[in-house]
Amino acid sequence: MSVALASPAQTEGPDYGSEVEAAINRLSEHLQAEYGLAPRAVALLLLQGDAEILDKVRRLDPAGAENVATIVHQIQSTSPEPLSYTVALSRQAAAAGILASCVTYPARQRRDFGELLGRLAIHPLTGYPLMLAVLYFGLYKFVGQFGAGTLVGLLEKDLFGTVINPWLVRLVDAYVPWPALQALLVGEYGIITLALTYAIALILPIVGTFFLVFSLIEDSGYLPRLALLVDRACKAIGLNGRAVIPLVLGFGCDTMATVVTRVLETKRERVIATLLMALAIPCSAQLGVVLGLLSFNPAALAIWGGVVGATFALVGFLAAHALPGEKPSFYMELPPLRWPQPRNVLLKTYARMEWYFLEVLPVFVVASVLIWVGQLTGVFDLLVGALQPLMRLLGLPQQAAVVFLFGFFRRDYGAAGLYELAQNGALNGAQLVVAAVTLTLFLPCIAQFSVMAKERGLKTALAIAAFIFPFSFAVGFAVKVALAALGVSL
Amino acid sequence: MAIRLSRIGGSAATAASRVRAGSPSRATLRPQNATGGDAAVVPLSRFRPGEHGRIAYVETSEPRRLQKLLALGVLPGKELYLRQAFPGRVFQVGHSQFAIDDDLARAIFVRREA
Repeated sequence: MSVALASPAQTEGPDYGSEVEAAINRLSEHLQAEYGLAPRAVALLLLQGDAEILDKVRRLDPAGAENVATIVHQIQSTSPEPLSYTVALSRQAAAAGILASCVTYPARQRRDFGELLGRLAIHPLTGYPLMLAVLYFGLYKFVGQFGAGTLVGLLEKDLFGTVINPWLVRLVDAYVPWPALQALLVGEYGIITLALTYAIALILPIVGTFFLVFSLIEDSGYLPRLALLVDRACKAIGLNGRAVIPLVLGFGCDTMATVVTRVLETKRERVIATLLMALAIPCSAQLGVVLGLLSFNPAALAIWGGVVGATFALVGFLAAHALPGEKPSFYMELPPLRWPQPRNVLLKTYARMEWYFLEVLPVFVVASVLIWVGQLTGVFDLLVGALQPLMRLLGLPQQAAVVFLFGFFRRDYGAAGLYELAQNGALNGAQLVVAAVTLTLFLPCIAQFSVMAKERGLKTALAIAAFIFPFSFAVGFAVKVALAALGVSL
Repeated sequence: MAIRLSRIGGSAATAASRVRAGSPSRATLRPQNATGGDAAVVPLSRFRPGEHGRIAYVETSEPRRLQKLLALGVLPGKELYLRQAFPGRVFQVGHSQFAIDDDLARAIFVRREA
């Protein structure tokens, strides 16, 4: 819709009425600390019953907090309606006054292409096919094939693998005399060869292409429509439509998606989304491995997809019923569809890539150091030994233990290991399915675990890991038993 | 089309509403002229696509829900037009379109208008 802007009128703040104004003044006197907001703004939030700001007042202004609570209670008890409502009405009236003085609307609303597309995007008959098309081209083709395939290949294999890393390895080998330190820097899991290479050559192209598509979807106004379409399905697993953002993101990188669960409103939703992503959403690396191993065997691929999908739905359903807390609710404004501004999209994509890179790089470096310590001290050999009974249980060869452990730290190693086992004929079709299901359900990687601990707290992260570890092996075992009992040969 | 906002120039005081007596646990925003047994007032969850109405009151047992609706500008007295009911409710208030789920739609009570 087009509006004509006339000269702006004299703007005055909303008129909250004398009682509210008096309360604002009295509240402001008790607010001594620095809140990053004007005392008046803090007072208004308090009057509207904002629990978060009240907590902050209790922490920063303990002396005045008691008085603040009393004042808020007093005025609320004499007011016929919730103060948040009074405040909202006053603001609406003020906004309407400003609008009336400076905006005129055309006599008839134009019915243009954008409006039509906006309606088709949420119509049940046309909305879902459109959604699938957007996800297929935007995510699968562009992020999955171009970003995670073409770009990663260029950067990781060609640039880092054959040019930068060999040069750095020679440099370190020549100038650093201690083998242990050489291993830490440029060993198989070194800070340069694993952490930096992964962050720049693997994560950055995936994240960059993803954020580009995401910014386009966001700036065009399509995102709230997408959320609306999937809201019902999300409710069944204790989430609301907004969760489509982290869940879809998880197929790119679960680590990044765990950070993005911040878009969800309640703690309960964030925990459910984090759990589901850690468990049943394969990231692009996992998908690559699984598709590579199983794509020549459609039946095996279908069984893998069915088992992982059923696990996702079942665990989500159970978590939604078992976890206490507020029910999810969905409300979003649907802005008109618009052409995204290229400059805004690029700036936003760049800012997000920078932010993500700075968040994830330290985590990768820590992972490198941990692996280095594990190898130096022999802890890894102990862990591999401990995993071997589990491999026997799953009917997998002993060497698979190494694949599982290192796969948690470094994906391509897990992938390469499985390829090798499969190629040597050590794994038959059924074993491949069991291994693929178990590896998919298993925690994605050490970076994801660290971010989980950072975002959800160590206790929650450990609880999720404590659930996933036995659960993934149990499902793998169940698949093995079921395949054997049904006499399925793949 | 002229701007239609229900309370142009009016202060908060003219938008009289009260918390429904007898049920202190429920937060209700209800203009004084809206009576309880009004057959024309139905929850938005019972509205059909294409129907017009005016928001009579907002009632929910959860203050956070109320807060969300206030934030959207869904206030008593405003005109509302329901565009679509599935997969979620899409309605128009003023010049904005909103999508909400069934639970929130049950909290908004609308007086049907032709």
